[in-house]
Amino acid sequence: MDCLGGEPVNYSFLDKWLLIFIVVTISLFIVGPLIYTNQLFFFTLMIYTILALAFNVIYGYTGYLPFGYTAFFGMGAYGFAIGIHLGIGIFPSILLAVAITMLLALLFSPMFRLRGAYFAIANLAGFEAVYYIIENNYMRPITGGPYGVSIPQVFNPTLTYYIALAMLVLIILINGYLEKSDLGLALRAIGNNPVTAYLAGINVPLTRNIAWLISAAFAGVAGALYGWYIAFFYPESVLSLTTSLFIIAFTIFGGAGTLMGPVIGTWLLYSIYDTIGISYPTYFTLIYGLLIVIFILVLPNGLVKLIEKYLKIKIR
Amino acid sequence: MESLLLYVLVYGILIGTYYAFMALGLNLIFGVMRIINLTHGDMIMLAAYFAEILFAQFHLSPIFSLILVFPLFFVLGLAIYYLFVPRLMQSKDPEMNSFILFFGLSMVIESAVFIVFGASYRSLNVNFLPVTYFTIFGYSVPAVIVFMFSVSLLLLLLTYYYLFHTRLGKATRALMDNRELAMSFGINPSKALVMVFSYAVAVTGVAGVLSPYVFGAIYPSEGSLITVLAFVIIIIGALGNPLGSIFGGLIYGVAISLVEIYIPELSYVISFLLVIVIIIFRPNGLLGGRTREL
Amino acid sequence: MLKIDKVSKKFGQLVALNNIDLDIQDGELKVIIGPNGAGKTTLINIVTGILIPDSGRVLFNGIDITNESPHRRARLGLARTCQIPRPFFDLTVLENVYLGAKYAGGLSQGEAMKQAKEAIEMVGLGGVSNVLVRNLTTAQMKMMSLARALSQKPKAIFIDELGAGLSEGELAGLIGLIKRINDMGITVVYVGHIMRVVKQLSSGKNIVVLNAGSKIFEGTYEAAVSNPEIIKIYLGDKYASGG
Repeated sequence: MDCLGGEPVNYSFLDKWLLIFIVVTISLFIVGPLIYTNQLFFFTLMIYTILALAFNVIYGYTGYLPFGYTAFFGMGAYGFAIGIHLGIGIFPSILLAVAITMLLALLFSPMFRLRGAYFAIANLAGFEAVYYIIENNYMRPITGGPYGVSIPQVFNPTLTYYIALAMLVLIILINGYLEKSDLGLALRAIGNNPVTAYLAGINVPLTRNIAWLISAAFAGVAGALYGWYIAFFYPESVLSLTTSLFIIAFTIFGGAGTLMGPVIGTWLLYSIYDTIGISYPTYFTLIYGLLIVIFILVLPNGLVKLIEKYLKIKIR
Repeated sequence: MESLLLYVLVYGILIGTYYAFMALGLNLIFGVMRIINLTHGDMIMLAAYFAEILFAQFHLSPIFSLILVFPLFFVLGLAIYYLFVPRLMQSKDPEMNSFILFFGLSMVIESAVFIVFGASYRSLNVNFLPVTYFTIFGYSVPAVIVFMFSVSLLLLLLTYYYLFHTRLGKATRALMDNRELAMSFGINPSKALVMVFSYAVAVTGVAGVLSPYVFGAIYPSEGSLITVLAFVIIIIGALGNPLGSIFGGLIYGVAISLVEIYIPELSYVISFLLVIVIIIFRPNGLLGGRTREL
Repeated sequence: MLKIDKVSKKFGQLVALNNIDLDIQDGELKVIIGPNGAGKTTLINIVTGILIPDSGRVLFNGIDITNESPHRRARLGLARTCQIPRPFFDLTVLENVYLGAKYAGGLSQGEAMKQAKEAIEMVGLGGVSNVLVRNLTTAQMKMMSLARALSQKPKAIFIDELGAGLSEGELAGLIGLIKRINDMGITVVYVGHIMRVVKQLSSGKNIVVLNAGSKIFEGTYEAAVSNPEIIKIYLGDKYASGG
């Protein structure tokens, strides 16, 4: 059974299947709200998909698990709000959000010296620090502290929705590219054995940081868009460990390291959560926890690989 | 205020010993089988609830709980081991897979406890001790802290004795040091692993019964915070070296005591700051060697 | 082309390398032998960048690479195999080798792919190029690491104990392969144990003996095997005194 199809092909990753999938995605999110008129559901679904795919860029390839990944999401939301309050306009504010998030990612990058699980926990500690600083009363003039921040003056759900869709397409393209490119291969090599990767001539820290910055940037964008859409949020709304939990569950369930894995995992699990689970969040955390346990033991490669095996086909 | 400083140091060492003991179970499991038990904090939480219920419903002193929790959690450790560990050890990446698995399990435990017990904060009182304060070096130290220190020290010494002076313990250390080599000497890993795992859970239970006195309250989601703290202590000390968590605990104990008195705003983030400092200067922990950054 | 200049390295109290001086000429086939723990692998680690020496310098074609990171050294033309193979288990043989060609070799995609396939053929793994490395035998993994080193189009290859565990036939094949690589103009430094291999690879004064971190001999094979000190460290006092 061959693995990546044998030959990495940098610019022809844009094959017909990827294009078809992108068209399907765009149609889904344009037509969907016309049928099931809950725009918030589709918007949040897009945001989670972006997050899962961005998370996949670092976890699915290098194996580093940033447990406190939500920190980037929250940073993006707050970065955007700060930009609006500074009066620099919407698009500059989004850029500011991304810039701040990437700076945070750079700040966290020394953690890569830690192995697997220790990295995860250190990253979690980093998240706690970010939460603490943003929520702190001293930060009220900048972040509103525990009282939250509001930006209703730029409220524009339609524009936000379409920009989110564009970002989703972008991160899909990036994931598709990674699946078939040298960069993706190098990242997987780093995940397998960083020392050998070095010896093979791969600039390990640089390559790893590229993936890390992309991953953080898109989480930041998702945060900015989310903050823009809901127009008013507290620290808990955008800096919640539950988001990290969900992203990890979605990605593992669907299958990390692929394009379709995080997508299918998110679409399935979030839809279930939204329709049934919102009223009973604790029961849902319990079920998600059980799902993770069962899947790691029985299906560590996720749903997509299982389907591929049974139907003997290769989904992208 | 030199005398205050001295008091804070003493207090920090007393508390630090408890922290070291609290992190011991996690460190043992990781050191021997490279498995990350993310339910560590939840074990502490469960043991705390156990003690609280025994006290509130049955009026049994926490000392009773301390004794009872050991065999109880030993059995719990056995159960968890046989349910998950053999499969984990056979998987492609036991370390990360265990991380994710126990992460899921932690979610299950915390939700279950929340559903059964609700979110209200509980606590244990200290009336079971004959005195309220001890005087050490002229400072008044709450008796319960000294009690915790004593229990922690006792069990740390017990663990040391087990690891260094019993056959099974020495076999365990050999496995921690170099697994293949130890196995080639005929050491059977399964028995040692089961024992260590269950023992680790058992001592974590004991630490859990004592935990309300240092963390204040008992509530379902405290598990994650405690796990993170235990990790921080291990990272500071040394990864996988059981003695390392002692250093880590002491350093953290002193640091948090100092910070709480002199810079209270930092108490929440002191653990993160320590981690960052350690990562930058000594990524293998205080007792680990220097290696090239890779 | 490679100059190791008074290199020393300690691990705590253990002196792994003690003021090693070694010159390797362009196109040479050097053989480094020595008992276990002599410091051979440490030396390779220092040359390829996994370790930094406590003192001394490493010069490669005049460039001081003592503190250079491993990937830059690979791109400058230094390649190696590891005693215990550490490949990318979840990638195929082709992908493993291709990465070396692309990144260390600095080749374009098409060129790198071509190089990789050639290198895989040369070491005899042509039939398994699409197999996940996880499913190979140890011997195959060792050959694959040689292929990856080759596909980097290196100026020098360090081969660390590749012969261990190979059968007679495989050993003969390996010796032939190493000679062919050297004939291609690539400097080869073979670090090994097995005296048969060492003898076959010897030519001129290309034998270097390390012991307990020091270089104790550099010269011909014949001189090495009749040197009493060397015999002593390999076989013990009894043999050295002729008894």
